[in-house]
Amino acid sequence: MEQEYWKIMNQVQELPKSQIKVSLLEEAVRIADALNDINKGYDARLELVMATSDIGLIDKTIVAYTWCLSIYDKFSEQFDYVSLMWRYKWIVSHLDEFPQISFEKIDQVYEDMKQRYTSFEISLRPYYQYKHKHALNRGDIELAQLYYDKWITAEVDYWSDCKACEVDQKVHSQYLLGNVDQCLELATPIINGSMRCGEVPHLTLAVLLLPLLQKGNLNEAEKLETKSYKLIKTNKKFLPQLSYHLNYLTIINPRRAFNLFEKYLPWALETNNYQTKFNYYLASYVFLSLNDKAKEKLKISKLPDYITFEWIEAQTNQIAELFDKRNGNSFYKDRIKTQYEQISMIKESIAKIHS
Amino acid sequence: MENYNFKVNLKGVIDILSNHLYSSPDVFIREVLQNCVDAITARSKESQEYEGSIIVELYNSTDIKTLYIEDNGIGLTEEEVHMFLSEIGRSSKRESTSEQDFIGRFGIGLLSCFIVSEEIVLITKSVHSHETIEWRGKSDGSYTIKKLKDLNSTGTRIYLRSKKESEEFFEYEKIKSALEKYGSFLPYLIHLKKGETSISINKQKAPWEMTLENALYFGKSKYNIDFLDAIPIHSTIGGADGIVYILPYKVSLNAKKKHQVYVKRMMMSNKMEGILPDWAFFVTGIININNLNLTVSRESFHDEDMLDVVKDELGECIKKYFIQLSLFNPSLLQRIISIHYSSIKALAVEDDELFTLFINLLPFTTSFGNLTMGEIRNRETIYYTTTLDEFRQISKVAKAQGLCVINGGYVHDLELVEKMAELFPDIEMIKIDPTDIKDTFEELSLQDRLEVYEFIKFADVCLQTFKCSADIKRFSPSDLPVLYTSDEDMNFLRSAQQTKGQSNELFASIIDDISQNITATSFSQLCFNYNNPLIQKIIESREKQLQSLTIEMLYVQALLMGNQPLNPAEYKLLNSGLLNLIEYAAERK
Repeated sequence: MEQEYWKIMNQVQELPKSQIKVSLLEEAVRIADALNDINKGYDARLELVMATSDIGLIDKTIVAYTWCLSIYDKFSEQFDYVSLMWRYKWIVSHLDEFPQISFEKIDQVYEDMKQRYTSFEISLRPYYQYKHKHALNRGDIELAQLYYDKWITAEVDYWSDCKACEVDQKVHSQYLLGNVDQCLELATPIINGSMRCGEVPHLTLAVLLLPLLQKGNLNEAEKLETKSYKLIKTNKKFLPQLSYHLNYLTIINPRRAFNLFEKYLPWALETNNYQTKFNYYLASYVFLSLNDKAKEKLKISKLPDYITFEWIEAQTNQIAELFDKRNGNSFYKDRIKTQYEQISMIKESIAKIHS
Repeated sequence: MENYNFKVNLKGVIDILSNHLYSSPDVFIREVLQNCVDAITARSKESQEYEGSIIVELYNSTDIKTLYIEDNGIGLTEEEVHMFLSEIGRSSKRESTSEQDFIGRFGIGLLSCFIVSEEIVLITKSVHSHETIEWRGKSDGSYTIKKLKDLNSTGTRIYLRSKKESEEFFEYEKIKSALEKYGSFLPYLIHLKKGETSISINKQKAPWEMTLENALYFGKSKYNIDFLDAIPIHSTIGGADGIVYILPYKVSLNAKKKHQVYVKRMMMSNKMEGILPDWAFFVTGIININNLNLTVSRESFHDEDMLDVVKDELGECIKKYFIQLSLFNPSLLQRIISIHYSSIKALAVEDDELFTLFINLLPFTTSFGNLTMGEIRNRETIYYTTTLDEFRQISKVAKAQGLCVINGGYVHDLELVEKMAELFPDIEMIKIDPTDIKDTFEELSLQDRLEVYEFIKFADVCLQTFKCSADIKRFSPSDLPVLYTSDEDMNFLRSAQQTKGQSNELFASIIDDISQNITATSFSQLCFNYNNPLIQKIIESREKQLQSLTIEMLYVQALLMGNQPLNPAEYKLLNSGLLNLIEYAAERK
């Protein structure tokens, strides 16, 4: 069995981000546990944390990470904290995407992260960065600004996100705040390729599509859409990005929009991440609302029969309610309305240019 | 506002360049040889009737050793000496229009001599000048230039004196082997002299110019490995030619295969990665490249886009070789595949033609053991699982039902199986999971069902705390008392619960939160086998205590067989269950 463990651990080193990598690591974890070997269990889980996070299986990431953190707390002298503390960022950055988790608990986890970072003398830069992101997701602009200021003035060290990832976060933030010009300006080095990393520009380009359309820059938008789609089309982690593509195609190319909608809806059905689900349902809802033809086409599509326009509309609203209930505001419900309005507005203005 | 220039500490820069840029100290030989070759190439462009040569000579006095290198190349004028030898980062070659003809790109190669020498003395006479120039450079960054009485011949001579603790690099054998290592296949004659003796370093053909038979022999004796075969490779775009050798032993997937790479016939690195496609990890190669530029350290390539194209061209040659082999030497092909199947699988995934060629020979894990696809496809229908865990759950039962199920849980296997279905639509390939297998089980007759009704209800109650439901069917093999099955969600839930048992309150409650949706719907299943005599006996006994002990023990045993981690409650079962069974047996006596 031990041999099998090493065989798997060797094999996964070579594998690209994929479901098969996750499955193999889960097997390695099972073997390690069957052997009752916490060292092997720890190593395999650290890899699993990365492999699941890489393809957007955040619930699995959280479980595997929790195990490592608990074992670390029990036998700290045996394990290395470097990888563990680096991965803590991946946990906090996704917690608020599950409406089942209360703000109180999320705040406690952030507090735990802060304490651990402080005790290891790690700069709080990532802590503030993700607090900023979290505040934006809550719809608390003021708090987001407060953490933004702390983030960008905190010291940079080994544990900070790389430059490209930080700029990506800033681009997302400006997009959420509706600051189209800043969003595009910040993204310039990412667009021209001078700033990049393992996940940038993959994460970034899709966000820029609507802002480019808003600025009437159709050519650049088309170029980025092609480039972005190539990077993200096979990884479930990028479903949020694919939602932006659906928005874009709703305006520019409804025929392709339908194909994309049909192709990736199964991913949205499958994911346990409510934020991601919501984004995709919302983009689908807006698309179908604005295209009667697409609504007709849905009736004869290869998707399961229960998927109707009304079903998608209901799901979008239900998930928005879950979030709003937890968040104590109407941020998500409002987004359904604003996104519909925004996209129909851009669509009209572009139709005007063409006519 | 005032402008300032950075001050550069030249000594420091030279130290960094000479000591850190290069991975092994004997590279100074390579850099010096390279300058000689480039100088000769430059001169031969200007005059046709000219034969270039290089002479290396060693002078050993008792304490100081001197290495002398001479070429009859184009030489340098005084102006060029100032420009190219004394200005780091600038190169005579860079500005030349026909850069492609030269090996080096940077004039800084000479600096590597400071690895072994405190001072470089260079005497040169240019084809374009009557003056002879002596340049002395020191490792502290200073240099002097003076004009000498006329040298008779055009060319460049370099003198290097060993510095303390570098004497070993000036040993005759060391110099000889370094010259052979880097210069064996250079196009201009190289002579190594010591006292009266003189030997020629490069008289043999390069392996990429030999007949294939000789190249294979060359490789076998050079590496002392009994290679299976040699494959000639060529890239027009890269101006590359080479030979790759097929290793006679299995190589691990993640062993980065390193190759010996020559640039314009000069050995540049014997551990170059990434010059062949990733799947080609079953070969080692000797490759000469004319059209690709190297980075400053000369140990990797500059232009990655171009490298990708060259890589593909070289890979194509290996693919073509396999196609030829399948026609003319199938037994060798079979042997190669039996050793390197994991590499070949990667290759078959990305190439349809090779897929068709190889697929029948490739081995897979199946419910009937290891079989090649050629053996597997004789069957009417081929089944496959997508994960190792599912395969483990059902393989034994599948075998007993006569179903050939392929384990798709290993790297590339699922892709290959799915590709098979795509390329050969007439073969029936069916994805199968534990539920499908259970659907093939025989239902109990009404009579039997009445018989087992109480037992199954009871088993359900016993197992409920473990989120497992009970069922009973008839299935083969009859010596298997139960079949435990679980799906993805259930596995997630098991690991969530196991982790919860370990963690603090905060994280435990977060795990509860994220798994609450799954918790409501997921159950694993323990399916009892009514064909199994033991199960029949237990049911007939109608003794609740015996039944509950048996149910629990069979459940825990099934988990262990499936490599499933036990949660604390299940551990308790394992520990107490066996003792309780023994006690039960003892009391009955």
